[in-house]
Amino acid sequence: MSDFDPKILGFVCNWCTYAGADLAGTSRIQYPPNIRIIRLMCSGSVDPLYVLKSLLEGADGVLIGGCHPGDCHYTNGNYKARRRIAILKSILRQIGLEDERVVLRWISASEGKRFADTVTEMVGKLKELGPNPLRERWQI
Amino acid sequence: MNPAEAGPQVERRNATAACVEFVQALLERKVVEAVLVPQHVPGAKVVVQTLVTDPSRLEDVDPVAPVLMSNSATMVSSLSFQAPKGRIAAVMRPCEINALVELVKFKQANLDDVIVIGIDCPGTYEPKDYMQIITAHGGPISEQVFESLSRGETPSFDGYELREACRICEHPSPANCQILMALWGADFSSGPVIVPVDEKGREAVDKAGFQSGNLPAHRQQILEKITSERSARGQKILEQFAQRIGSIEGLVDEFAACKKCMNCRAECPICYCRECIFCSPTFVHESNKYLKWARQRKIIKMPVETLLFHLTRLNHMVTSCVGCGQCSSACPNGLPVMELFRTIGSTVQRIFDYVPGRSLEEEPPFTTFREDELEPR
Ligand code: SF4
Ligand code: SF4
Ligand code: FES
Repeated sequence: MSDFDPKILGFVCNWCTYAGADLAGTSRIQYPPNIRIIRLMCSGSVDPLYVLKSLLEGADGVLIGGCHPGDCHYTNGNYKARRRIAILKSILRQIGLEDERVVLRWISASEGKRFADTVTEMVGKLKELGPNPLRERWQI
Repeated sequence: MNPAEAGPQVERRNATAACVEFVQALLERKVVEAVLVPQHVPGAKVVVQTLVTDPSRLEDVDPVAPVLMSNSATMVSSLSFQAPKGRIAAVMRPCEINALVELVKFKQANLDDVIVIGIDCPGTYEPKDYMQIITAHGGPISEQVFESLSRGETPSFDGYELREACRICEHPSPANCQILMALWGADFSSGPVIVPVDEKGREAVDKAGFQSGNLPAHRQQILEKITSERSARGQKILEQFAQRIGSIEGLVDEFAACKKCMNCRAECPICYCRECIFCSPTFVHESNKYLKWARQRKIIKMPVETLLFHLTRLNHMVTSCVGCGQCSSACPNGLPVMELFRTIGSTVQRIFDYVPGRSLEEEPPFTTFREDELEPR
């Protein structure tokens, strides 16, 4: 399992986490290179469909990054995201897929370190969990 | 010729007579302009919803017939979302009304000019089973059905089972209607009891020139018995199903025969989107994509994205699934779609203490949020 290199997809908010990730880069904070980032305008625009599609195509983990409560540029997109992700995780648990593969985190534009720590933590957890079992199923 | 072959002759006796007289009076006395009510199609052994404006065109009305070709909440939505000029009355089963309540909250229906007449429901047969039963029986079976209900029993016809959705349904009697047509426990010789539930209902019953009936004394007891039997069965069935889909392998196997025809979605009263994302260009992939996927995985199932379809639909609407079972009835491959949605739905709905169809006031989980909830995640 030690040579397992998890693939993570990040759906991140333009106003906070995307800038946070940028800051992590420009401040040269070290974190594992396992994440590919997709920028959206708000965590509230993450349709669970995107997360599901990623998992069904074999992503080992998915990060959704949004503004801290109270800070969403569209007032409440992050609160809506929180409900959607809670539902998604409940569904994943019920079909036997570890819900820890999906992480919703509030990361502001100034939290480069928090972004790097989140990715490091996810990679650690995913190494424990092993590859996404859906990758091996062709009948999906 | 066997009477069933000649087409059903609805014998207007106890079961249907009171219903017909009542909707007829609503039309004759212009309480409403039209009624939406199930009728036999002469010669076809099926029961469909009809929208009737002429009181003389109610010959084959049979709302007691234990069959539900489609959930009429969708029709009431079509009839009311643009606030029509003219009142309608709709005779509906409990699961249809529950779905309608959800559609109202999603702003897909407007009940200002609708009078919902809720009818007690014994459960329904698959349409093909219903056809066989009435063929064997030589005509409609509503009298037998009503007789069972008046005794407080689920009707039974040798060799046939009600649809599973109905066998585990916890709503034998409708809520959120203006007028109730009570069958459970009603005196067989005097017919269904018509009871107004709210002011709007009372006004309509008065204008129609009807007396409000009295609910049978032992009705509550009957409903409790039926509900507890069915919910016990539901618990067992859904627990077993949760086991079956509790692993990726299990879920994948259960739905291996899905061909993504999307009939389940088409029949779902809650799936109201006019342009489902699965019918949109998002899912028209470049030809090369398929080869790419096949190269990556070595082998892929065609059509692609069948599981994605179900998991997405679950995420989008399971919070409002009313368990009507139209999805399972619509599936050409007999897949347990209702079981999937009810199993997952019961857990997800519990997170928000939400019961679809329970009340017009409770906000559906996706239309609202609280600032302090669901933490820590
Ligand atoms: S109706 Fe059946 S086969 Fe068609 S998409 Fe739904 S589950 Fe799949
Ligand atoms: S998912 Fe199936 S059981 Fe649930 S409301 Fe839709 S058709 Fe009815
Ligand atoms: S704008 Fe960042 S989560 Fe809404």
